[in-house]
Amino acid sequence: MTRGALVGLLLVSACSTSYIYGQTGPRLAAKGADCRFELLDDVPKKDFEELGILATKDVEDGGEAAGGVGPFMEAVRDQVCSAGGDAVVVERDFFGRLYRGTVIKYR
Amino acid sequence: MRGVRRLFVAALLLVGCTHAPWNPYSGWKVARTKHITLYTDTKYLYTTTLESLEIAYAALGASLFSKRTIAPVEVLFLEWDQFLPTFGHYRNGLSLARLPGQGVLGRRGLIIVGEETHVPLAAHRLAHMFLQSMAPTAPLWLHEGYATYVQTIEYRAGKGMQEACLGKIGGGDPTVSLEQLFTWTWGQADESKKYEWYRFAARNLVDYFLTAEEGKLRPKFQDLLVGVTSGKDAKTVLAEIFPGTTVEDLEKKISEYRRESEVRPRPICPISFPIAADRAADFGKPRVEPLAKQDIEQLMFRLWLLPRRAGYMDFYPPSALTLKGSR
Repeated sequence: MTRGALVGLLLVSACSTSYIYGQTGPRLAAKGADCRFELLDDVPKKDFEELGILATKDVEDGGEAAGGVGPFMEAVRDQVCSAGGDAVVVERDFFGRLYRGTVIKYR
Repeated sequence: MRGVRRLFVAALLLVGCTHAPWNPYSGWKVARTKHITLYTDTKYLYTTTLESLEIAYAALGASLFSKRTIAPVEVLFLEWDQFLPTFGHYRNGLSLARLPGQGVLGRRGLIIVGEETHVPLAAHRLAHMFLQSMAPTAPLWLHEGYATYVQTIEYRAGKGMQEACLGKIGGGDPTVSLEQLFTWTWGQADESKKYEWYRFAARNLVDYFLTAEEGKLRPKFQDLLVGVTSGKDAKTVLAEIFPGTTVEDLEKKISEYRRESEVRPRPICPISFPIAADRAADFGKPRVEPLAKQDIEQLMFRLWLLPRRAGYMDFYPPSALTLKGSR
């Protein structure tokens, strides 16, 4: 890898996707780091409880939330699994960017 | 030379990410007046906004809800370069009945305002807080109707007396139908992208009750408030107030009244409310104290958790903080 590429990678990683997580519901036992969870656009019909919120800090900057479903799931996996979540109900902005999600646990 | 290049690369890494190593929460303070508790990191920029909020508080406190006072309102003042990344560019302020999570600040809710918040916007922001405090179950349309209506409120002072004036006609916009007004959820109102129309329809309804038929309908506004805040459907309450009149008929009357009002001048102070001296606006120098960095950090963190931060909604009832209530 050239030195230029390394610097470029460092610059990109300095701004990589990050979602904050705020606990708003009960604290549950964490799941394994590679746990499976669903990504939902709508509120599920079956009973659930809300555990916390994932959000980008900057809603104007599409860079953080523009990656689509795959990058979003990878970006939040640690937080969802640590929270013991079964699914994330996502919220999109008017451009379809995933900038917020509610971590839920099915009852 | 190598040292200079390293320094250059380090500088690039530091500035490469605009949100990385800046320290946004140093220098925050709280400025207190009689009715407002304002958080800011600006030196003087907040003072006009604080004055506008004091004027609006005094005027609102003397008008429709004069029998009760509400506690000093907490306000977060943000410059636009802080406001826009946090709340997008479809609104110029927010009134939060409750915040997500728990913290030291914003326990009774919070108003968030940007630069150059003058009396109309200050009145809109505060009207939500007054109504929320007096009628916690008020539906969204009533909130927006009242808050948009009081944007034309005026505070008049001189020779030892003060008064608030309500009932100015205000600017116009298209409207949504009463059917949409009464049935849209909080999330639907946001997604409609017609929130201004929604507000204007609600505002016209409030104006109709307060000023049409030379004020004879005004006592019925109380019936409307009592009815809808007790959980009754708006259409049922209107049918009780205007027996034999359908919602479509009423919609037509409101629309006609609005059109007539636009060409018929109203008095200088259509509805006057005296303001007692002890409830006048506080124009004194605010008491300023430093604000703990961790408190403002915690507040900003909680604000990032709000739903629909990129949207249009400027009032967040407590229900909006739940997944179902935000849809």
